[in-house]
Order: sequence, then structure tokens, then C-alpha cells
Amino acid sequence: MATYKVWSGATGANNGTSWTDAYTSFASAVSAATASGDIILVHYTSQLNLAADTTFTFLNNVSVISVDKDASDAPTAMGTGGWIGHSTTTYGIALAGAYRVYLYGITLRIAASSTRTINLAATDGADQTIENCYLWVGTTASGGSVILGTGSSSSNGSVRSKNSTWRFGAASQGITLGARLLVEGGSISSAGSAPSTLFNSFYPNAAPVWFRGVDLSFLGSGTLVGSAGSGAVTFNFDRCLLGTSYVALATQTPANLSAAEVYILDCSTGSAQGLYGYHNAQGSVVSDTGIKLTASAAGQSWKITTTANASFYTPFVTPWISFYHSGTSAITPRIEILRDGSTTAYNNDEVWAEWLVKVTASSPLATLYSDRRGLTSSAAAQDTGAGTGSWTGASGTAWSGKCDSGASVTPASVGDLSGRLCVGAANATVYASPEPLVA
Amino acid sequence: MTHIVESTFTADAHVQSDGSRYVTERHVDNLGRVLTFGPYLCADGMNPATVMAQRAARLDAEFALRDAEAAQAAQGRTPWSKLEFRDQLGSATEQALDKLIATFEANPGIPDNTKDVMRTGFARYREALYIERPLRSEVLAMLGLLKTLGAITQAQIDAIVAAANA
Repeated sequence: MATYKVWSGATGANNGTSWTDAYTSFASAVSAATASGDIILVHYTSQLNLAADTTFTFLNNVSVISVDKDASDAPTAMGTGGWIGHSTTTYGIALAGAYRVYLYGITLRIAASSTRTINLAATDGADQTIENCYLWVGTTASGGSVILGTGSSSSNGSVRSKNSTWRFGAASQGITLGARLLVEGGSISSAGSAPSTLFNSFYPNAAPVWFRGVDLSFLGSGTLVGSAGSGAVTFNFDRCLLGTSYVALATQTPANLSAAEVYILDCSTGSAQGLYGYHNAQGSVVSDTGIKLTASAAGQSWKITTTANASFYTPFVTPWISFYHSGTSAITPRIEILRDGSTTAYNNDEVWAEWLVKVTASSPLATLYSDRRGLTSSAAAQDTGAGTGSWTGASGTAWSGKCDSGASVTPASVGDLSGRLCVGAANATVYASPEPLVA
Repeated sequence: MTHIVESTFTADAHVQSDGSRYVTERHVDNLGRVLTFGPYLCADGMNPATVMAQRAARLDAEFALRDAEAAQAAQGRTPWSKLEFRDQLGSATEQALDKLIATFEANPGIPDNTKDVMRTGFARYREALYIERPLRSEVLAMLGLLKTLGAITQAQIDAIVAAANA
């Protein structure tokens, strides 16, 4: 296990053995680091300018750490003062090699105005982690982007980003995703341009994608997930700061569940907490604090809006709501719903509930219950709910109903029950209390 | 040229607890295709009409860019994706190419200056977003290299070139 040093200001033997004799090119260090566990230290002020499009192919499991050679090699990020790439000429950068590679504090920079990309995990089987790094797509070309993966829908790749900065040079740029992606911390830099669509292209091998604790506020009213991808990829945004008037998911093609879906988990554009969202081609669920069941501790309702693609046989289905139930007597769990702007009841082929309950003793197997109308039965109105007076924020014209388990169920043990709503009516809006009730 | 011909939005009658309001935009292009954005939360004090107009302008810019790229491709031939190019090689040649890429650096039988050329050539292949048609000389050179290694026949190369020129 060896350590190689890189410093653009070195004037010694250029063999990486000391700071005096440090390599002056990053490529030399990558070529030298052939043993698993090798470490490459890069002095943080180094401006390691490329002379051509460059693929750095790692030859083993290697770590690359930006340090301050003048402070006992303390880990120090390059930021915008140092880089691997170029500041005035466009050269593409790719990190390749089917190995586990870790980078700390490294800036990858492309500049000028030609179409080039920063490509991570550029080999089938690459597993790359970047921490406190700076991905700087400085080119103003519309085709500039960050590419994760090989660009093939059949290859393996993984990128994990911790507290790193992503910077773009034009609104048409974004992330092309062909690898597993986990992003924890970090941000989209406001020093660059805000992509109008963050994920403008993706492949099935990207599923699922997680963003946790990321500042995406600079995206403004941009779209998180566009329509130009392929595959049923799930994008999750958990406790992120989002842009003002952001759009979660663009219109999808195909217009069904084989396209992308987006979860928004406790994210907002300001100080609001506990907001939820789920979006797919057939509809969406968003937190609504303006209309809610007054007595509910949730303090919000789920506003469910379906697209023209929802139907009785292919309804929009909300995520499951799991809740703890401490009894083993017969119950009829229900979800209170509201139709605002009309006093007409929803039928059981337009809105219904599904439940997962463990009813068999000493078995983890849950049984599915529903109050959906029978496939060949006539539709019937859902039961009246708590009453419009139990809701806050509704207009003067509304209908209150409930969706339940169809018949009573008897949990076999204390524990979690799960319920969700299905909306088979196209272009409909239903408000639902996300706190299922059993009493 | 593709462009937005109609943009409308609907906003909730009620506001959220922070004064924001859910808005859904509907944009229609000149081909009748509908693009929906939202529901999104329009902050208190923001004008959804302004947000909609800005998005329509961004969409027009993206359409213009896409149309320009398509026009450029149509003047020649639609480029192959790299996957489509690999399909032309056939599985045996494809495997030989991948093996060559993975092993040439350690091959003592290849001179260093040849390795330099190969290294850059393979790097350019990896960087490429697509394979132009007709094939560039550097792609033909790569096929020629595979032929010298016995991984592909001249007849196969001729067939690939013919497909690229079709």
C-alpha cells in the first residue's frame, strides 16, 4: 500500500515519493497507484491542467485525498482555487476503472464553451465515492453535463456523493444518470447556472436514486426529474431544501407506471416541515395544509390529483400509510376523504382504500383488504364520512366520505397496519386525511 | 420549429398555511403535445403567470436546441448510439474489443507508441456520446486493429461500413 503525491508546483523528480518530488500530473499518480489501498494525495492549490479529453482509469481500489501539504497534509478541499481539468479550455474528464475509488476534496473542472462532460463511474463495475468534492461543469455548451455511468443501460455503476458541490454552466445542462446514485449533503452551486431540469436523462440501471439533506434551492422553478429518461426509476428526495415553485416530475412518456416516479419526503422551499409528495404518470399526492381534517394530528391532508391516465383498472395508487395498532379485536379501518367543489359522492370505482393486515396468528403474512367495487359489480357511493363540518378550509360546496376495509378485520397481533388510497377517476382531486382511523 | 402555442395554469382557490398556493401549468406545443407541470407550490407573492411565462420561454429554447440537433443529424445520417454500434460488431468481436481495451496496457508485445495511440483512441470512444455515420476514420482504424488481431474479418468490416452508409 503506497502513497503518491501530486502537486502542480513541484519541481523535483516527478516520481510522487515526496512533495518535493511530487507528480505534476494526476494521470501519472493514477498510473502508479496499482495496489489496492494505494493513496494519492493532491496538494489542494494544484491546478492540474489537462491537454486533452482525459479518462483517468484507476487500476485498483484507490483513494484520492486533497490535502494541505503545508499543514501536515491536513485534508483540505480544492474548492474553486484548485482543480483537475482546465479553467479556459474545454476538455472532458472521465473517472474509470472497475474498482472502489474514493475522492475527498477534489475539484473536476471543465470550462469554455464546447460540449464536454464530467463522467463518473465510466466503467462497467465502477464504484466511486466523492466527498467534499466540486464537480464544475463550467462550459456554457448546452450539451455539457455530468454523466454517471457508462451511458449504457446494461452496465453496473455506483456513485455516492457526500457534501459535494455540483455546478453547471447552462440551464440546459443537467445530470445524465446510468448508475446508482446516492447524494448525501451538498448543493447545486449558485455560482453557476441553474439547470431547468436536474435529471434530464436516465436509464433503468439508475434505480433507485436518493438525495438526502441536499440544498437544491438554486434550481428555483426548475424540474427535478424530466421526461427524457427511460425506465421505471424511482427518485427520492429526503429532507432537502428545494427551489421556489419547483416541479417534481415532468410529464412522462410512456404515460404509465413504466416511467419515473418521485417521492418528496419532508422537503420544502422554505421553513415548512413535514411536507410529503409522490408523483408518477397517473397522478400525484402532495401535502395540503389549507384543507385538512380538523381533528387530525397530521395538520394536513393529502391532496390527490389524478391525470388523464388514471382508470378503474389502472388507478393512481398512493404510497402506503403505516400506523401502529395495539388491539387484536375486530376493526374497520378507514381513511376520511373530501371532495371539494361538489356535493356528489365518489363511488367505489372512483376512490377506494386498500389495507394490509396480519390476520393469521404466528405468521408474518399480511392479507390485502379493499372496499373497491367488484370487477363486474355496479358502482356504489362510498359511505358518508365525518362530515364537511369536520374539515377545515373546504369551500362551501363539498362532500365528506370515507374509504374503509370493506369488511371488518381482526389483527392477529399488535403492530403495524397499512392503508392506502386508489383513485380510478381521471382528472380528479381528492383530499384525504393521512391519519387512518380505526375507531 | 417546435414551440409552445398555448400556456395556461390553474391555481387552488385555497391557500396553504404559509400563504402559498398549488398551481398546475399546462403547455401545448404546435404539434398538439401537452406538457403538464405541477402541482407545484407557488409562493405567496409570486405571480404564477410569470412563472408560467418563464417556463414557456425555457421550453421554447430547449425545443430550438433539440430541433437544431435533429436537423444536423438529418443532414448526414442519424448517429448510432454506442450500444447500436456494438450490436454491429457481433458478440465475439464485441468481447474481443472489450478484452483488448482491458489488457493492451499490460501486453509486452505492443510498443509503447502504439499503446499511446490505442489509449487515446479508446478514451475518445468512451468520451463519444454517439458514433457518427458514415464512420469516422478513427472508428475504421479501430476496426482495422481488431482485424489484425483476428477478432473480425474484412467481410464483417465491409458489412458494418455498408450499414453505416445506408
